[in-house]
Amino acid sequence: MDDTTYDDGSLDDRTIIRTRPRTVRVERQDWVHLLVVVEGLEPGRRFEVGDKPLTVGRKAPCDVLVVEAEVSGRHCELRRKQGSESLIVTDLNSTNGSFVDGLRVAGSTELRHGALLQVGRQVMRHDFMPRHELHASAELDRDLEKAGRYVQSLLPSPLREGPILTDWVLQPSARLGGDAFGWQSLDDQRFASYLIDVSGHGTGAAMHTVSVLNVLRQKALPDTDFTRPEQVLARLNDMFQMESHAGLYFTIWYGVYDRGTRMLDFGCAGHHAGYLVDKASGEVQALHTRNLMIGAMPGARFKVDRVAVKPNDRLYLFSDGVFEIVTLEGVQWGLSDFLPLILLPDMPEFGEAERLHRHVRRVARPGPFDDDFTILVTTFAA
Amino acid sequence: MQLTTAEAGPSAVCLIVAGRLDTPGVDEIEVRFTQAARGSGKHVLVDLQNVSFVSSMGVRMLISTARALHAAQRRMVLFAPQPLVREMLDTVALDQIIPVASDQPAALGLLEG
Repeated sequence: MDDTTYDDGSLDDRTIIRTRPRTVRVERQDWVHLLVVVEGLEPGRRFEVGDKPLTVGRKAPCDVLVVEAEVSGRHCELRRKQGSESLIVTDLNSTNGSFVDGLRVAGSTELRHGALLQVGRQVMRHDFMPRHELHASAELDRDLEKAGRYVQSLLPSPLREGPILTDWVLQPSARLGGDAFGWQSLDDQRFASYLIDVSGHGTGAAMHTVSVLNVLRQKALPDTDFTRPEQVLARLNDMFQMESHAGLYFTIWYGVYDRGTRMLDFGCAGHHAGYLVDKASGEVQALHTRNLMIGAMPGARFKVDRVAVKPNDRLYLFSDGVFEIVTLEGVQWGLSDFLPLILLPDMPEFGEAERLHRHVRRVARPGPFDDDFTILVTTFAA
Repeated sequence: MQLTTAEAGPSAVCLIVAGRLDTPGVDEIEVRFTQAARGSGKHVLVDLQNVSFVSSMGVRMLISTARALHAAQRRMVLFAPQPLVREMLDTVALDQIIPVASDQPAALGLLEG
């Protein structure tokens, strides 16, 4: 008989005072330890750490193969710790070290739930979770992957030949991001290019990005001359007010290059400058117009500007996720920290966008970037 | 991310924010920030001197709160942003909808103006 129920089945309304809590037994037998790749060759891939130790290295028969020159053949090992939610990481005398949350592993150390293990450029997070959650999470991952592929399919392939060349890198900070970009020929002479950054990242931001991108790709803005940046920004603002789009706003850099006159008309809405660079001379022009972001104020008007483009000038457009990083030393970067990288020499083995990506990746603390990382480099060849 | 509240005269309350106003920071304080602003019944000053970073989500939180206040005929003024934060606010031209002052007296002056 429950101690709050009388013999006649009625309930006692008094609160029973318990001097000691009931013993709660949490069964953790069906929980799993996972290494989840958050950055590297296959983001999202999971490796289970079972009864046997899991080895990580460059060569088979390691369980987790990280095929990078800076990773040792047998680099490190992970095993479960009896009665604990942590794993134990042991560095196997690797040449370049294993790192847990940015600290080099000396011998063995704990890898707690949520901690990051870095081997070479591969960063993996330790997740300790019930097995049934793993299955649900795997299904969600598959859906996110499909969504991510759809977003990627909307992005144009780089232009490798012709009078205008393009190169780009887009790396979402989550499985889906809020950054996007595009370009299109408006007619025989004029070429539009743009970069969009929706507030936040993740699924909501990605959906908003897709809406904006499709409107621009299909030129689906009413009464709009797409060769006029001020009209494009104003119509986007009319169409995408925050109240009607879950409180989301976006920033954009939009420009139209005329090959006949070699003039570039451009406007920014809440976005930092694009940079027109002559690498040979080292000349850098900041292309910026100070306007509110898209969606923040109905009826906003947008200022635009114009600049002359010389043969082989390059236009660098990038999202703020490129420079709003925290370094290995824990220092917050700003735009002025990133800009000098633009003038460093090209590296023939990489495209220009990838060169900059690698520079920033080397400087940043381990793990995914805090925000989506997007760079679009356009070369106006002779 | 920390949030405290202080009186700033008969017609205004000051919300003092400290830390990084990035996505996790916003998640941490957004509900309290909005409640403190809307529930005060007064104009709102936001002290940013101890905010080291503001992301797009932080800007979004400020805009949505300012709009809610505007609907109730009240105003929001930000003040004392650190250089990096000021640069960010300037890039997005936020002062076109939410005034930004150098310090609290200047912020109060903007409320009265």
